[in-house]
Amino acid sequence: MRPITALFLFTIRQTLSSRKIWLTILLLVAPSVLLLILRNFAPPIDNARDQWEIYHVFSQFFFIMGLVPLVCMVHGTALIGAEVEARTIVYLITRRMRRATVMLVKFAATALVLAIACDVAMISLHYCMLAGRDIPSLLAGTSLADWNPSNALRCYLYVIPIAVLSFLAIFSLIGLVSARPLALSVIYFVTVELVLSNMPVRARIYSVMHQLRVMMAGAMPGVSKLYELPTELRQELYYEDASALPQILGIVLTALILSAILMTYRELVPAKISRD
Amino acid sequence: MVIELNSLSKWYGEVIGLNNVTTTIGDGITGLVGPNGAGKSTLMGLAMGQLRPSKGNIRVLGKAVWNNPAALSDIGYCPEGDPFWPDLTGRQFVAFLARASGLYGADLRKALREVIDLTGMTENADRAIKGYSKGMRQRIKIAQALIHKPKLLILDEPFTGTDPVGRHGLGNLFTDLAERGIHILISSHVLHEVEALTKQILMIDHGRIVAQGHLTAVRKTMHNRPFAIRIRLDHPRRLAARLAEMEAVTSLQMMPPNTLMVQTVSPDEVYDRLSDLILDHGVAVQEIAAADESLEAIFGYLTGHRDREGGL
Repeated sequence: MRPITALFLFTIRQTLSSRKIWLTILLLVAPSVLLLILRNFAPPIDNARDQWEIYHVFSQFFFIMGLVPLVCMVHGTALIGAEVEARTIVYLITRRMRRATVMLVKFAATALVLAIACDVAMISLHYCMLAGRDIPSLLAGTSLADWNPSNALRCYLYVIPIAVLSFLAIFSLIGLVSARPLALSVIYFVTVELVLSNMPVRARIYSVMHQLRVMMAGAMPGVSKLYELPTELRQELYYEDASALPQILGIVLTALILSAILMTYRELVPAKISRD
Repeated sequence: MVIELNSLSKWYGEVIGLNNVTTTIGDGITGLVGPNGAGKSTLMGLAMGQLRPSKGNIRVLGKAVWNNPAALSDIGYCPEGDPFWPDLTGRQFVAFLARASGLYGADLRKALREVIDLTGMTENADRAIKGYSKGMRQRIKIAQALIHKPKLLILDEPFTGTDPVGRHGLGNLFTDLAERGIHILISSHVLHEVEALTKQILMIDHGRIVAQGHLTAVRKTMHNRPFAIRIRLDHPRRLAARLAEMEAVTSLQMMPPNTLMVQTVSPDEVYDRLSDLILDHGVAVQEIAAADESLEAIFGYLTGHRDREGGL
């Protein structure tokens, strides 16, 4: 276990001291900063529905479904690729660890850092939006009276680490598959996570975004009241399904197993290899 | 045998890195020499389990190395170039790789102190690697390769970029390590550096082994190449006249100021005759030396790189 612990701690240290972490922090605090600007410089919003909608858009669409995958893309595609390009991978794969172990330990350490960073950013976003506002009295007597901001935050803090695990696993796999991982990641994200997840087809169960939405709908039934949608469409978009978590973990596990296999059998040499 | 290669080939698409090589590499220091692109790093990558053979197999210290951490724990590898996490200090770099090799606590501290002392990095170990000179970088890479007490050290171009003093120091370090029983496979395209370390060589060109063994033995197998003997003496013309009578001498060349270059198909016969001639004629001889038993000369003969500027 000691070499694994050493690599785990080393990866955390490297992640925290890299330039990429600044880009990550910048991206993750962007919604909080925008909300602060809105609160201080835009006309005040007294309408409870609008407040909830802003909160919902920022936390779900902007943060969980936009920035979290983007941050995971940046870190996941470089998880092993950056070590390969810098050729430091040779030090890691010539020690007392299997190649697959190297990959999985680096994945676990990076996922931990990103999950904590994303959760902290979510807390910041929540308080930037709602701090100092008396939400219960604003919502009293409206159709949104059963909306509980604390419950929403708990749900998001639970869903975000799962989103990080899922997207990081997928983008790490793409990083091992392709020599142009960023391009392939964008293609994957648009086709599977943006298009497929919103299509009324069974194949969307393979989309992380769809499963995350189902999980959030399950944890916050009130969210479906936000939009005046036809019943059929509402049921299509916001429905509860207890199998969302197992399915999403299945996606993570599949991506990690494929990554471990690729890591084991692929030669980890830079794209511009010296054939000396 | 330290390394065994059996019908080993490595292709990169249509480019051949190593072509059907069968050989063994024995104890002590072995120099792996060849021009850039010859296949040296490919062979080392295969020996380290970084590359997978396209055909055939390779065993290091009796074990297959591809994805076999147990085998790799007996090997120390010093890669070519500057693969570093540059923000680490030298000590942090070696300490992390020691922990990744399973060393902890007092064992780690002792091993760390030893390798840092051994590689002469004591004074600079706590500086960031990004501020290191080329020589320091080579030394700290060697320190990490030694930290887990390997039985075999694989050094890929360890002299590259080092100054003459640094090269001399590294050469002494490698000789010292070999005396401690560590086998060393060292690659370089600067032949005289390898020659100063070892006479056991493995010459490689275009992915094939062109010669292997002790330098003198390799040279002796080259029957179709006349041997060159350089003689510096007071009266070269007098000796030249007598040497010209020998059938074994194929050519004689006077080189200013007082040097005679003899080409012969039978150097032993010439050396015997030279002793007699020197005694008979009372000639004062300053030097008699084989002019083309150097690694560079032999490599040039075998691969046609003789005239290439700046080594190979």
